[in-house]
Amino acid sequence: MKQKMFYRRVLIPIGIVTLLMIVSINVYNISPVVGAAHPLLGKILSTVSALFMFISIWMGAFIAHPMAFRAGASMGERVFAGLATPLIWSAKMVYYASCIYTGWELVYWSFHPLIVGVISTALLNMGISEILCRVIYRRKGLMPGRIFQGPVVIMLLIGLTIVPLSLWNGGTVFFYMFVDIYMMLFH
Amino acid sequence: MSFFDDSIFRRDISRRELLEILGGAAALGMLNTSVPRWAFSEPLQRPNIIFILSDDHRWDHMSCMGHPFLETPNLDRIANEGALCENAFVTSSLCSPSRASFLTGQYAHTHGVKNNITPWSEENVTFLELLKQAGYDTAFIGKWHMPGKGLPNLRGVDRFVSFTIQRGQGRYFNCPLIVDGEKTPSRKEYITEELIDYALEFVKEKRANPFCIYLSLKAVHHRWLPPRDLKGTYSDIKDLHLPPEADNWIGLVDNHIIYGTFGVLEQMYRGYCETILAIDREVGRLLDYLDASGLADNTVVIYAGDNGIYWGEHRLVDKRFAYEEVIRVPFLFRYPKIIEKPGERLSQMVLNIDLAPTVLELAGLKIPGNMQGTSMLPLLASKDVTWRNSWLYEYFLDFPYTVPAMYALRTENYKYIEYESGCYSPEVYNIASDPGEKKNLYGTKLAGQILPKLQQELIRLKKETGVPGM
Repeated sequence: MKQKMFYRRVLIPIGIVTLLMIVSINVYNISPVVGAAHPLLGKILSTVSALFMFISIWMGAFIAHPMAFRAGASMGERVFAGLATPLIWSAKMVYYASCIYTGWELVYWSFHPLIVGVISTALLNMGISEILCRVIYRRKGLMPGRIFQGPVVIMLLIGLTIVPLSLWNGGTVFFYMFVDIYMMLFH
Repeated sequence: MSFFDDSIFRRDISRRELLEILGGAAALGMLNTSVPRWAFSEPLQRPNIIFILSDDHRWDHMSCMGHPFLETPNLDRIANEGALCENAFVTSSLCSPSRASFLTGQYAHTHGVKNNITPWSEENVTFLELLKQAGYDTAFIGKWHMPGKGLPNLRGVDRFVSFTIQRGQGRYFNCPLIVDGEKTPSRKEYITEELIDYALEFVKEKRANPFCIYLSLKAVHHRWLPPRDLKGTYSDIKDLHLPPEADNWIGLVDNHIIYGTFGVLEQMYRGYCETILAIDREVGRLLDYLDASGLADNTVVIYAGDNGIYWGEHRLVDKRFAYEEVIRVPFLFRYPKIIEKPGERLSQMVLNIDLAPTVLELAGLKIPGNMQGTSMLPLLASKDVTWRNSWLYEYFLDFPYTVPAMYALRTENYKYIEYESGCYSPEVYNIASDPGEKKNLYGTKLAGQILPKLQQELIRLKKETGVPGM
């Protein structure tokens, strides 16, 4: 598989999904202003932008990862591309939390179920995307080797363990676990 | 001095005394105007008391408060046969602190349940304990949900029915209970019906003493699940009258999803309204029994909410911030012997911490000095009294929620909010002209004129109520 330039392998996949996230967040944020004057337009804008926000943040790995794969990115680069929007979004969340919590509390806060959830979802998505890409490329004779390699298995294992846990009972089990550990550590 | 200390309420009166009072009142042209109805009745028995506390029930979600489609005939009935406090508030808009305030008559910084993490202290004295000491039969039925290891050893209750599942939140369907310390399977499928059943059983017990029931409902907390027969009642309502700044996805953005708002806002809101319908129906069942059994005349029925909820207002969900949607609650009273003008709407600002002193005074008990609320009895009896014109709101950090700690001052016309985080600027609202709190006046010329007074008043209230560090 031919390896393309760094910006094609990494920067463009990350740029596209990040741009999608930034645009959708901003459109979503102005939708109530638009909706005040044109309710229907506001509703359409909020719904479409919310959909793209969800895709770019929670499903962004399905966009960035195959693009990076196709451009010949290494496994590390592919993982980096697939995690870009979840990491940016998580950084934003931690930044907001830093207004409220400081020091070790903030460090612990950055393991918030939502952050762990979005990153483990990205890993699961990447694992699935990696398998699909490998199957397709092997059929085309472009990529020799096994489909289930170590990193793929690890990504799937993390994703398949944490994603169901974070969804268990509407997310309450994982959330309460997070709070219980906080209580043990800080109280 | 207690409202009734110098009144005939406290003692038997002779026929001669009664005639003197009647004669005096008639001579002054006061009959049927300012002499309370109970003044002429036979010596007042100590009343039975039923306090119903709902969860996250917003003040404007009753038909008697003008909700556009929600029908709450039984809650309206309490208001129409009793009194409705139109300006009722909680001093902390979060379940555990607010519940502890209802029970103790104290601010969160006094009773110590500052958030959903800091535990309930066994040293706290509840009004149930004081009523028990005075000879009442008492029951706590329903949601306890205060931090600590399981259920507390709650002093002064003869019957303690609660649940610990889901960290004390309980379940809407088939919720396992703990009845006087014993694990007990649910008898009814739906939790509100189950709790009302337990309350009715307690009411029906033969007894010589008056009773007090603290009936703490799980509804209408999230996940807003109505009973099966009410599900879909509002599915055909097209215009839900949600605020213009809300959209269907607001519960999923930022970190709002942490509040359990996993779904489409309109659907969740329909569920919320249908769950209130179930509360109303069950409250009606309780009222019907009181009426049919003849207990109604000597039973005080009080209905309140522990805090409100945002449905997209200010682009928020859940509660905590000090805006009107979540600090205002329903507060209804029915007690024919005291309430002079059935259907009266009281405009004075009453608080959750006022419940305990009110209940104690209703029972003819002395209000302990460490209770920070004020008995509402004079208001309910249409007495001309000086009432508070400002009060203190407080919210403490509740890990991991990203809502800053804050103190706020609410006056009749203004609100001033101070955050403890430097990322948040203070806020000033003219509630009279801007009830939706859309325009923060902080930094404007108008706020400059009023702000020093508001800040001084906030400091005064902090000192008066014993906020640490003041």
